[in-house]
Amino acid sequence: MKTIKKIKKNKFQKLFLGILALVTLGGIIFLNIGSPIETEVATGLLDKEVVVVLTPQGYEPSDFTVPVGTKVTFTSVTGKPHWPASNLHPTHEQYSEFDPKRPIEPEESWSFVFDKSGRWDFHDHIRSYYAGTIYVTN
Amino acid sequence: MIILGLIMLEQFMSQIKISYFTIGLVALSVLFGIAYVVYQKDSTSYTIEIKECAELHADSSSRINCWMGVIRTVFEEEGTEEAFGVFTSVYETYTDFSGTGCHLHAHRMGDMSYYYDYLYHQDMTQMDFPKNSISCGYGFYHGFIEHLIQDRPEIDFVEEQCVYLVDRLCEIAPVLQGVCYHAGGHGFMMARADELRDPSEWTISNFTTPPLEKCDALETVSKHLKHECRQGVYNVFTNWMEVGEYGFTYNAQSPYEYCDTVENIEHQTACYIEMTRKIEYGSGTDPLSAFELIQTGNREDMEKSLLIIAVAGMVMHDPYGDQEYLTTRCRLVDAEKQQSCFKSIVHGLFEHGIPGREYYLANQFCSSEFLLDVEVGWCHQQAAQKLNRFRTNSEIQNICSNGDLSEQVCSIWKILS
Repeated sequence: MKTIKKIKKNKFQKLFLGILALVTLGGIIFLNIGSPIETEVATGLLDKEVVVVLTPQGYEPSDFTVPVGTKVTFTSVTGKPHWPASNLHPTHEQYSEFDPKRPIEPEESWSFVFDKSGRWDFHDHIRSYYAGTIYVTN
Repeated sequence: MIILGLIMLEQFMSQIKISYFTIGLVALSVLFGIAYVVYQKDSTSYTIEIKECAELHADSSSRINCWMGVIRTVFEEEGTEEAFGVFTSVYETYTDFSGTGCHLHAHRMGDMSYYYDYLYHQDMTQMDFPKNSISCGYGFYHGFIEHLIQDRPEIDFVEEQCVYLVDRLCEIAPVLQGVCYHAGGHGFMMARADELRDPSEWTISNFTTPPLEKCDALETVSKHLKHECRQGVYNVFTNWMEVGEYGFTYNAQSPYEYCDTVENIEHQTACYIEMTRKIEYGSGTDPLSAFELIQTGNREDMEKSLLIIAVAGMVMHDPYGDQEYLTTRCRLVDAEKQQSCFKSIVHGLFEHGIPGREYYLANQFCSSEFLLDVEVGWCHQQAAQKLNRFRTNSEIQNICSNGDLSEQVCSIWKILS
């Protein structure tokens, strides 16, 4: 009788622990899925230089985090002129220095050093449907 | 209770021989279901984010950027209709959104639609065009179509796409045809910018002539629609002037300086119209000053229509602005143009009115105490004429039967229709 009770108790413990583990795992997955900002720490962080490529699908990477002082270089493989600039379109007043103030040739790149921390939304001034966000941290 | 439940559950499971793994999976599914329902984003959660944008940012530009960021998220995650729901909510709550040119903000919605919907599906039949997409002077369609044509600036393509859109959306967008060709002109002009790489080639004529020729060459459309297309070309050009792009600047004291050098009269007409849309840089929000600037041009035949554009523009830029001041200044222009000047205020209130209730601000304005009797009559007349720009006949009948519009406006509309 004692053995049966012990087995039952063990089974309950296993069941309880199993559910708890799954719920915890599920919760972690759920919270990650529901995260409002999907951002990645840009590669090349140690070099303090990040390359952003405008492709027909959009900026790659489009949302990323860098420390203050990072140089971000914008290039394009679309074969058309590009013009990365700070929001808002078309005035770019959010970070007015983040604006080459001219179209950049397809084979040409343009670099900008982010010396102000904050969230900087940007877009392609020529095709304003391409957009991204750079989080600059201290 | 929980332990008792688990004991009963365990006994039941052992009877029907279901594994603990299965129990775990079922429990997990139920929990996920509950969590999804509880945490699913609804309009309330966006209301919080919208409010935070207003609270966290002091300057108007940052607030607008923040709101547009929320709208973009909704667009990406939930679609066009839901995004327009948020757009409408922001418009109705914050005057620095509605009062900073909501047409431009609606343009950005068109950008999003092109990127998230069109480039993804490559097929317009898969796209969603909700009723509120015509808000703020059809700005959404200006933005969407300009990119569509920018990426494929062909005459046949413009005609084909406009025919499709007008046919599909005739029930929700009564004047889309003109808007479509206007936006086509935007697209021709923006595509031209891809071609002119050498700054030494950046002259007004080099930029505008090929796109204008495309508008002229539209084969299957009326004179009016070609005219819309030409205006679209100059509209982009004056936008460039506004921000100093390609080295162009808007001459606030002599706005028609360039237009007067354009020999083709159709092109010159379009140029005059679009320069007038920026006339506030010289006149401020004063109809009388605007009229004086209009008279500096050489197109006496267009003075009245240009005054209408100028005053309507002043209202569109800020539909919650000081309409009493505009009214008193309109009373000071030439007697024969006073009516046009006044009616333009109503036109502007409609054009950038509350999304889904474009008639509301105009209706309110018509009952203002400061209006003279004759102006009240003009107001009702103009409001009745503008109704069909945003609403179908059946919708207008409903609005009238619900008592949302004044009886006078509804009576005039019935006579007109």
